Parts: sequence; structure tokens; C-alpha cells
Amino acid sequence: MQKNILIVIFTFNEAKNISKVLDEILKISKNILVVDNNSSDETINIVKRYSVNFIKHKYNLGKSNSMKTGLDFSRINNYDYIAFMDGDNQHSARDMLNICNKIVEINCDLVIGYRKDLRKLNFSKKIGTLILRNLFYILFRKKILDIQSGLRVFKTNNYKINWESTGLKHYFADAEITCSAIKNKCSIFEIPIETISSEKYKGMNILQGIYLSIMLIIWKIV
Amino acid sequence: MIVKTFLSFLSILFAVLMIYLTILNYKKNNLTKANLFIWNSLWIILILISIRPSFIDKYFIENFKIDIFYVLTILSILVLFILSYFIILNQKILEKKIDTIIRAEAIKEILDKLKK
Repeated sequence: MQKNILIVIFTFNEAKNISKVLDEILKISKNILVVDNNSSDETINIVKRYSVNFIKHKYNLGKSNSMKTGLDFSRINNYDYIAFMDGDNQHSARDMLNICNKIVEINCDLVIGYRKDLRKLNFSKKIGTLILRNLFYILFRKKILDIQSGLRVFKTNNYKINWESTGLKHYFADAEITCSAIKNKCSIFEIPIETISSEKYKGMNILQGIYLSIMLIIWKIV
Repeated sequence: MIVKTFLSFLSILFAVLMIYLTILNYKKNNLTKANLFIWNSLWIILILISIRPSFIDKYFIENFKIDIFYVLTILSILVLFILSYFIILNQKILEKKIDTIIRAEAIKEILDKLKK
């Protein structure tokens, strides 16, 4: 892995998953930052056992603020690229390596990993993903296969993206950042990643899907 | 008639409770003397209106030809929207300030750790 890429892992009560995530990620890079949103379980104590940097917010500020914290750290320490992944073991280290290599290779603003095999998702998640994909295309006229993908890598000094959340700080930060990237004409590339869907992975429910659909319309207009 | 009496009673009870809470908050130094005076005056006005609302209604219709409770209803909705707007706005501004402080503190902590 290129030395100038910082991998930021977001955690919130991921004591059950974080060890596996760190064990895998440390095989591909040592430039890791864990940003924890005030977990109440043993997440941070587990992270401390590894030789990685970590930041713990005193209160849960939501994912978009965690992204901003990671970005600030990346800029202060002069990393050229910043990669995001969730700490819930939904993404593989191999996919992280692929997206990081890709952004260096093609020199674009953003590379997103999209889940290629929807068959592994349950019926409602599959339908929801397809509906959101099509709605996004209708609104933004750009085909993005996974707007909510948590596995992505940016150029650190990309000031085109608006990192100020419109209020959805928790669950839909990824989608909001994708919309902002499109609206600000960032060059985006997508590569397929493994679909991991465990029983414990809740994902979006129908109401959240409807809420996100409404927010997509609002983000398009505003 | 029973409904009107019940509503008047509820309104007076609510106003008395609010006077008590206002005094309590003043003693906790959450409100100044001026706040105490203004808010208690409003609650007392509410009590006076609630005792005989029909009297007030009759007075305004006879002397000023105004349906006062209709006017008050419109004004109340307007005040409610304006207050809600400013409360939400102030809450968002405060939230932004808190987010900025917490993130800055977290970054400073890790940078200090890395320097050691």
C-alpha cells in the first residue's frame, strides 16, 4: 500500500468486530486512524492493544463529524489520500487495497467501492439498493452503483466536496458526501467489492430508505 | 359550558404551575429578576383572561368591534412559528459549536500524544 494513504476506521460500539477489522487491515497498511464516537463498550480498550492511532470523541458526533476529524488529521499529517471504512467488518482489507491502488493509478477525486453481488443481501435490502440507485440516477444524472458505500478513498486536498452535513450526521453521511461530490463535479470511479452481509448487520430499514429518498431530492434542490 | 369551565380551570392551573417553575428557576439563577418579572406578569395575565374569558370577549366586541380571541389565535400561531424557528436555529448553532470544540480537542489530544 502506498505510504501516503491514511486509512480511517469509524467505530461506535464495535467491540465484537474491531479486532478482526484491525487484524486484516494491519496486513496491508500501518497508516491507520480509528475514530471512535464515544463507544460505551470495550471498543477503545481493544483498539489500544494495537499499534494504531485512535481518536475518541467525548460525545457521539455522528459519522460526518468523524469523517471531518479524520480529514483534519490527514491534512495536518500531510497524507495525500484518505480512505474511509466502517469498523463493523463489512469491508475486506483486500477491497481497501484495491480502491487505494486505483485512486493512485487513475488520479481521480474519489473512488467508491460498490457491492457487486446483491444476491447476498436480503430481499428488502436488494430492492432498496436498486430503488435508490435508480432514484439517484434520475436526480443527479450520474450512475453510482452504491451511494451509501462506506468504503471509499478521497484525495485529501479535495476542497470541492462540502463536508458540512445538512443535519443527517449519523446514518446517511456517505450518501450526502456522494451527492456533494457529484454536484461539485468531482471525478468519481467505482470498483466492485465483496458483499458481506451477516445476520447482525442491520443496514437500512424501509422507513430509513424512504427518508433517504426524500433527502436525495432535498440535496438535489439545495 | 362545562368544557369552557374545565378549560378555564386547566389554564389557571397551568399558569400557577408555570409561576412556581419560574420562581424555582429564578432561585437556581437560571433567570434574572427581569425575566422573573416578565414571565410572571404573563402568567398572571393568562390567569386573569382565564377567569372570565367571555367578559373580555364582550368588552372588546362592544368597545372596539374586534373578535379578540380570533386575533389572539392568529397572533399565537405566528409567535409559535417564530419562536420555533429561533429555538431550532439557536440549537443548530450551539450544536455546531459543540461539534467543533469536541473535534478540536480530540485532534489536539492525539497530536500531543504523537509528539511525545
